[in-house]
Amino acid sequence: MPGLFDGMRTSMSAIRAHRILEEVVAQNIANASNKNYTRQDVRLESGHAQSDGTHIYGQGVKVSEIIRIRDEMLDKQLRHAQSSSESFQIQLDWIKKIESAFNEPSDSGLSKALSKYWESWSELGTNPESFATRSNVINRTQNLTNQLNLLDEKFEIFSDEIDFVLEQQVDQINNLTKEIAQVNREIFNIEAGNKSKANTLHDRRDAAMDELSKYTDATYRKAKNGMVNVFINGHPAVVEDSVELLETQSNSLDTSEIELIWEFGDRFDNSESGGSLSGVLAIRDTIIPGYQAELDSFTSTLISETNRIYANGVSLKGKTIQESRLGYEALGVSSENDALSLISTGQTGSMKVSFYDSNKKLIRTEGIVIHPGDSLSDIQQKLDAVHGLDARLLSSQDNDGRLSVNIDSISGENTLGEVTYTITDPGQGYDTSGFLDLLGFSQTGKSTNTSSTAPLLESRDLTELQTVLGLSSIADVRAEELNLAGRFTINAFETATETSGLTDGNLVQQLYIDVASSDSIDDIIAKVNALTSSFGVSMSFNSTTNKLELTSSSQTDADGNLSSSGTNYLRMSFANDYRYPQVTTDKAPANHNGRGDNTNLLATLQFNTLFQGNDAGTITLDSNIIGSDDLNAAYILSAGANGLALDLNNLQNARVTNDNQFTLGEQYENLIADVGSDIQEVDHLATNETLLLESFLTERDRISGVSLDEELAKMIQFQRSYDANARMLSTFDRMAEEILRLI
Amino acid sequence: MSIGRVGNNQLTRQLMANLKTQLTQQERLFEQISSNKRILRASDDPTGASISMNLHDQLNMLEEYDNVISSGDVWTNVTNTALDSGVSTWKRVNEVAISAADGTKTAADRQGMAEELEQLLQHMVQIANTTHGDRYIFGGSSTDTPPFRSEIDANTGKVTGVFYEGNNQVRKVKTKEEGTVDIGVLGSNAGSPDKPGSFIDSRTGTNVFKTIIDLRDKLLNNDISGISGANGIIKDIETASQSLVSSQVRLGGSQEVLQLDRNRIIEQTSDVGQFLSEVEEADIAKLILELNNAQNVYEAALAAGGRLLQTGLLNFI
Repeated sequence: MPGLFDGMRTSMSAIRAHRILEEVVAQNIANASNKNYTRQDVRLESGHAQSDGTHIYGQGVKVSEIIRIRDEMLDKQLRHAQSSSESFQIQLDWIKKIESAFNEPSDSGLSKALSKYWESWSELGTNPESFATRSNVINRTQNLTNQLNLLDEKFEIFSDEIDFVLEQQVDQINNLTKEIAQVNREIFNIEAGNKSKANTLHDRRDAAMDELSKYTDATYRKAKNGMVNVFINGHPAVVEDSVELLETQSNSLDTSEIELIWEFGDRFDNSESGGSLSGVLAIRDTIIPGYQAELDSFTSTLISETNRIYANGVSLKGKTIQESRLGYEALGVSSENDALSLISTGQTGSMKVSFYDSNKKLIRTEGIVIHPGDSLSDIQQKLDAVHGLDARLLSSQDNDGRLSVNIDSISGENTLGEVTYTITDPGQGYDTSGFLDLLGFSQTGKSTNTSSTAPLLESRDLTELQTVLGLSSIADVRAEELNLAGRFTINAFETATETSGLTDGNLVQQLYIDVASSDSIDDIIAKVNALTSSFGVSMSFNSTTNKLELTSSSQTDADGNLSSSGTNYLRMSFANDYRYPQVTTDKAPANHNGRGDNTNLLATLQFNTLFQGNDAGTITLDSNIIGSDDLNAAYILSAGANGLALDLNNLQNARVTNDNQFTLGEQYENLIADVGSDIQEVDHLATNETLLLESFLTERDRISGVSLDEELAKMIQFQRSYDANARMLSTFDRMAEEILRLI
Repeated sequence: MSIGRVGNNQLTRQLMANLKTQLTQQERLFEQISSNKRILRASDDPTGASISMNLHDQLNMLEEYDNVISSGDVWTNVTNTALDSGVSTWKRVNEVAISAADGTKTAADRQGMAEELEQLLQHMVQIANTTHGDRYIFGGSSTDTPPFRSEIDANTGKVTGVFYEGNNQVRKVKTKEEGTVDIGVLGSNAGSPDKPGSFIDSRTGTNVFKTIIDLRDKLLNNDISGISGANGIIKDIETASQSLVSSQVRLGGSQEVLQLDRNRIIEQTSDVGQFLSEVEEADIAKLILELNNAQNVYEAALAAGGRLLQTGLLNFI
């Protein structure tokens, strides 16, 4: 039989337990609004059973443990979702910033500036004589380059801002890992040898781990001693109560950027995704460089395609001195003596230099032949060998081998009155005087022989003219005033024996003979010889055949320059442009595209080009053009010529980007569409992850959150139990009293 | 497991999240309605945004082509007017030639006619050197210098020859993506035998200036057979007349092409504009319905939330 006070002890234990139960309810209600709080519950167990020899009966209740109601698996899922959600969210924020930097579609974005740029070329094409339309093109071009520079600058600013954000995030991460390590230690100290859990500290540590998951997708491993080890992207950041901090330092490759490194020197592995830290790193290291690369590709195509056309042009006046902006490095070689691969093997390229007098009248044209394997220095020497031209290579700190081409004003070579030059195709017509027709010179063919002594081209027999003109002697024919005015051209082509393999038909010399109305045949012969004595061409009257003969004693050397001891003879023609092959072995000039420089050398060196620079950050209008309105609109020096302006306007519709798939405008539109779809995609992912996170948070609330209704119900329940136990106690008391009264 | 448990924070958080979604949606609708644009930024519709940019670019280009056509029209008109005067001057030259061939005219009459021809010659040179706003229209692309130079005999003061100093670059404008339109004609085809010339054309042997000079000189010499004979000047006058008229015909052709281009541009502008408004503009009626709906949902959420959060066991104990 139980002892007298056993029942009282049982009730006492229950009263004590219910006091604790009510305490826990009070604690739960007090923390109802605390996000990081985990609902606590009390685990009761019945008191140690006693036996009186016959029966076994219980001895009340006792609190075995106060526990946190928490699902650790859920924590893991939730933190992972949190990492992803934060990563996408911060990426979304930044791409939206980039999107607003592009400011498209709008009336003030790059797209509009590009439209206006094309438009200005069309306006110049309509009014090629005008300075006003020229300054309009200059303004529109500057607006375009400014917009590109500005976009590039914004990207740089974004990268800087992200570096700032990174520093802050690293601080936060370090604070959190330090906190986790510290709480680890406290939990260990308190829980060692103690049966109860330090619930509040666990809540604190869980809160820190939740917070850390926002920055990075950390993994947590629980050790047996109650401590938690933290791994960030596989690297141990917290081991028990010790921490390895994350640090920032400037990037060894790009000092303007910072990179992350672990305190003890390990590299920060950024291949893991998740968390706002990897989110901003993805923006800085992948997304921004991606957009920048697209914008740079757009810009460099714009530069190269524009310059390719523009470099062959001429403004309203010729040039006296020009320098290229870039040196041999732009051609992809490391020395001016390295062979360039401008032309494919077996072909030749050419450049044509035309000279003008002070009235902008074309005096003569000289061509140089460029062979595969020529170096920049070779080409410079060929240009320098052009009569009346001074070409040299300049050295400067960052650009060795810049090409400089001047009218040669010192050597006295410009005896014909050459004042300016252009590297353009002269593109003039045939004989405007009628002299060649009258004399029966062919205007359409080249000479078929290459002799240095025999006549290359012959006129008709002058006795025919004698009859037509009704004159008494050949001498009279030669002295007769012809009343012809205009000019004709004598061309010299580099040629070779048919088997030598050199491409025929490269123009090396073009001389313009002005015929005045009072000139006679003898006057014209004198003019030709006066003009051509220094250029190895002579015209004479052969009294045996009664014909005029054109001969040349000049030869060209292997480089295509006129020379007295060359290997290749010249062929002559009167046709200005080589259009009518006379023998089947004649070939049209290789790469003949009607341009002054058909090798793109000048465009690549940025010699006489519109744009300087090579990407969105560096593109500018060439500084020579700014302020001078000296803008090319044509391929020939003629006020009303507009070919170049029309071609540049036409570039608008040319598919020149992405392997000739898109126009420049379309490439930019694609970039904007890319930004837009990136936002849509990241927004979609962010929304998904946030929804997932929401559902985990709801699940956590459902499990670990405080429900006031529930706590209140428990409060009442525990209060009632407490009352019942108190009453029980008083019943036992009365029972004891009865017994005592018997004594 | 405590399935069916509902924590207090849970309700509040869900309510707040839903309200935020509702508000975002309303903000977006309001933005579209107030700007009347469906696409305000690339992410609203990436493909649509790039199409819209492309269409704006096209509109800009069409507008510029239209401007080009206008100025091309002016150029062809000025040229045409000049050729008109050329043709009427030429008629007078023809009349003079015919009347000079009349056997009743005396040598003195012909002297007088020769003087008139000198005047007509100078007038013809002026016509051939017509400018349009400082630009010579018959000299090819040499628009800054007179295309025809007269040589005058220092003793007699008479014009002895007129020579072409222009080039063979016919003025072109670009009024479409592919190709160009010639809006001018050359004064002479000297040096470019494959092109037609208006005043001098080597293909037909036309040279209006030389013809007048020859006629004048023949009148001065009282050489009637040289005027009306088998190979007389009157034949040359006819050929030259054809040359002037055929230039006008070519110009007419250019004007027609310009007009066709203009019609095409008008059609395209309207098509592109319509497409653009489809791509870009907001459907206001639909958006307002959506906005109403969104507002209703928002109000319902607010009302429900307000009531739910107020009730609890606490109210009843």
